[in-house]
Amino acid sequence: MRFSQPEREVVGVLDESVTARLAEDVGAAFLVDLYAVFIEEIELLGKQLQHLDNAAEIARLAHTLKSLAASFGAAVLRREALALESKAKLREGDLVASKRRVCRWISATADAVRNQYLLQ
Amino acid sequence: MSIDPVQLVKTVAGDGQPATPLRVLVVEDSKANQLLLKAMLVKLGHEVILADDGLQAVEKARCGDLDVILMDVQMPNLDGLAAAAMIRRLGPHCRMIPILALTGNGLEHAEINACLSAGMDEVLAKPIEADVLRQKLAGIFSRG
Repeated sequence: MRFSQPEREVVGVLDESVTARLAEDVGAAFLVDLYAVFIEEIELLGKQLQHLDNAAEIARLAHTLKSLAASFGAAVLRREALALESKAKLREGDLVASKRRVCRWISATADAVRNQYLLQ
Repeated sequence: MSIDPVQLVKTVAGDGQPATPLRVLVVEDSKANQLLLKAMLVKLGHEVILADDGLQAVEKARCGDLDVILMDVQMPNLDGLAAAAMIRRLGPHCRMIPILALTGNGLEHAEINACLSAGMDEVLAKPIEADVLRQKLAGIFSRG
């Protein structure tokens, strides 16, 4: 996978600098509960995204996903949601392929979070 | 709630639990983001009221008794910009409530200008850090 310049350092699904800070900010135990809500929310957004055709609605949903991913350190999902939001706003590029990529990263992010936080 | 500005600076700028908790309205359409912000603010010793969109935020501001509003910019039904502008028009008590914008777009010049033009006081980019939140609250109230 090729990363753009600012994100070349992102090698994992989750940005450990963000997850470590979150654990400090809210406590490790509560962070597990928060990540359970996070997974539920991104998976619901993923299901909704699959059924959207309208570019403005796709852009809005991608923005919500991007914002959530940023808050919880889901670095790759954030990048893919940003790409989808930009394409949908400009109404250019292959939105179907971009939607598919985002859905794949939602699954990968949910799996990573489950492995790291919920299956301990 | 009436807050003495001097007391407030001591409250939010100090380390540990504040002596006087603030009533903070968190306006976010994402449940996970709501809970995250609530957890940070509660840990800082503040009281949190939640709203899911701009319409709910305007209603909660109309009822008064808020010290600070943290407002997401992009939300369904009524976005943060429109909600902030409406809150500022609700009356004298709402013109003075500090409103901090929360954006998932990074700190883009155009977005910052739009937030300030809508009547917001500060703009914070996600991910929000508890320490930054604490400092921003302290900074706003120290300016009086």
